[in-house]
Amino acid sequence: MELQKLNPRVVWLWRFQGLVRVLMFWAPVSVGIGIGLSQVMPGFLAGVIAAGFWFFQLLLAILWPGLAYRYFGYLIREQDLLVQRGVFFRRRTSIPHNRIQHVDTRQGPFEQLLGLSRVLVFTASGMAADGSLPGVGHELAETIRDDLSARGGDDGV
Amino acid sequence: MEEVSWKRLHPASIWVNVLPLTWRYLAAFWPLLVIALFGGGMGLGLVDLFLMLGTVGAGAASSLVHYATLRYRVEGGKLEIRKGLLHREFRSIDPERIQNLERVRNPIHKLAGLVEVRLETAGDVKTEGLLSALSEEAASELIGAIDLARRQMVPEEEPQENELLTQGVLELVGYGLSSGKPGLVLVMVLGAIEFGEMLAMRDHQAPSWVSDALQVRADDPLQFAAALLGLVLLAVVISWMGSAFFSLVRHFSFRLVRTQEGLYTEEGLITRRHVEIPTRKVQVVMAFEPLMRRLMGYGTVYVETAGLGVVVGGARRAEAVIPMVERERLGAVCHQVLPLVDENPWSTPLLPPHRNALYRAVVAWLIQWVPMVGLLVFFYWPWGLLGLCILPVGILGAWLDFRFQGWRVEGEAVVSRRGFWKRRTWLMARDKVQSVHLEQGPLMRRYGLGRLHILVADGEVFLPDLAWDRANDLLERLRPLSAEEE
Repeated sequence: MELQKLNPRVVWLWRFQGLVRVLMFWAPVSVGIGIGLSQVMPGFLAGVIAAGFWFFQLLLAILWPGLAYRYFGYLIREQDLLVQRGVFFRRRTSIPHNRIQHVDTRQGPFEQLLGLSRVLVFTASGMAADGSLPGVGHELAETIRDDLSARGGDDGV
Repeated sequence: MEEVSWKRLHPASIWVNVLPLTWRYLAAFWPLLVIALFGGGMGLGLVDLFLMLGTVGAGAASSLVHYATLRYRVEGGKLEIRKGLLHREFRSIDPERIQNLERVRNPIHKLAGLVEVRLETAGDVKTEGLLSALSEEAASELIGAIDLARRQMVPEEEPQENELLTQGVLELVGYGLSSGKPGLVLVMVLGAIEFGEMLAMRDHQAPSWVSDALQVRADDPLQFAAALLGLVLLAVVISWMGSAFFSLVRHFSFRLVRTQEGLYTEEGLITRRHVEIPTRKVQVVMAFEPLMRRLMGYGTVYVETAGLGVVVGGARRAEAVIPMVERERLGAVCHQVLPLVDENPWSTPLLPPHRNALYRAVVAWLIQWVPMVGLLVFFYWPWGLLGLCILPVGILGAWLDFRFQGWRVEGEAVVSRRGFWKRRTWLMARDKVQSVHLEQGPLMRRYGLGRLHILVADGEVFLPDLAWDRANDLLERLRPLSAEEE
């Protein structure tokens, strides 16, 4: 079973998003860790640990997207949409076409810049999307959305 | 075709609704009221009075507006409700989408001879409090009209009713006794003592009477252990008595009745609750058998539809709870609620999980707890060594859980069972599956396992850990059939 890959540009999208997180969230957290540790150990050592922690987050933001891309795949089959994701914690999801309530496409600013879209597939199981395809070329995303929306059936509720 | 006229609430709804609506304002603004009434020790000042009167006045005004503007009717096969003065709202509900119907009578309703009708649709959480005060006749007329719209035909004869189950006082007390939460009560008791101490210290007073009563010498371990045991026993007794009382009040005179359309339950001492559930709307049935209830020979059945009810403190998952069902009858009762599922997991053995699931559970448990026990030993030496007892107890728990897990996917039926101390058995029909998820973490990959997570409308079922290939095969098979395949 050969799964479809996402658009390779999604790796850059995830790196952008990761770098924003590293700057806006992990940088202040690392400073906090450094200040906290400096109360119980020499300041230099606390600084090195905090900087190391921040550098580790930076490395993750750069390297992780490549791995996530490698393990992400999807396939629109005759009866369902199959989505597979996860590097350490793998998850394979089957969403039957006849259970789909609605399909959304969304584009954030970075996605617009890279010409990508997210496809979110909702069933009656709850408020969150049951399946999502995070980095699909915009035109392909619209085709997938229209294709999946048109296949509705008994919602099982 | 003649248009159906709009109907309104009973005029007595104005005073019937004042209390619940005022309570709603109080719940929304309680921090403000607490600060106003108790802050600064100034007593009931002008601002406090204004706040109190404002809250009650707002409740009364809302009640008046609610009565004056709410209209309902069943027109063109749809239930239509409109309300609002400044913010107008119109709601059209397809009777086919109604998951369950409730008639609720609280003490104020009983006094006024009225009833509240609650409707719950899939995903809709705002139906409570709308049709809040109808006369018995108007409520019956409305429910009849909804039933008629559902079936699109007038019933030719009185519907047949079959009483499946009733609950006696002793059974309900047993239900309460087996659902107490001594741990929670113990934490609350300890918290209250701590709070009392803090207040006493703040006011430079001697320790409170609670502290006096429990005052023990820290250097006498026996006295300390006796006091702790006493507290635990006190917590257990309080918890049991409380839950037995609340169980009686909530489920008093419980009846489960089968009708042509489905089921209904009736229960309650102070607030009488009548819940109708069409069986075709039932998503999942869960039988809950905690150890103590199991030893009594009973289990509790929870019936879940796609409608989410709102209760104080969050959303209510189960639409109906059948408190005490004898173990021998659990299978039959579940079959009545879910006729499509003819598996009886209490008489037919289930399939076991993969044998590696035990190793995975033990290793996962050790990874989680060994560092905690290490910290306990490090910080509380030598008493922390007692923490080592957690390890064999946890391993025994993992083995017991593994030993009693089971599953079966046969025809339309999906059955899963987990847990030893708090055993749960889920039953669902395959045609309710919304999506299926197969999960595998690093440890599961090491042992060649996969876990299936099945989502239904507003509910979920986990199967025990299975071999990866078998779980993959089930992922394909659990999909509901499309119209062409059927």
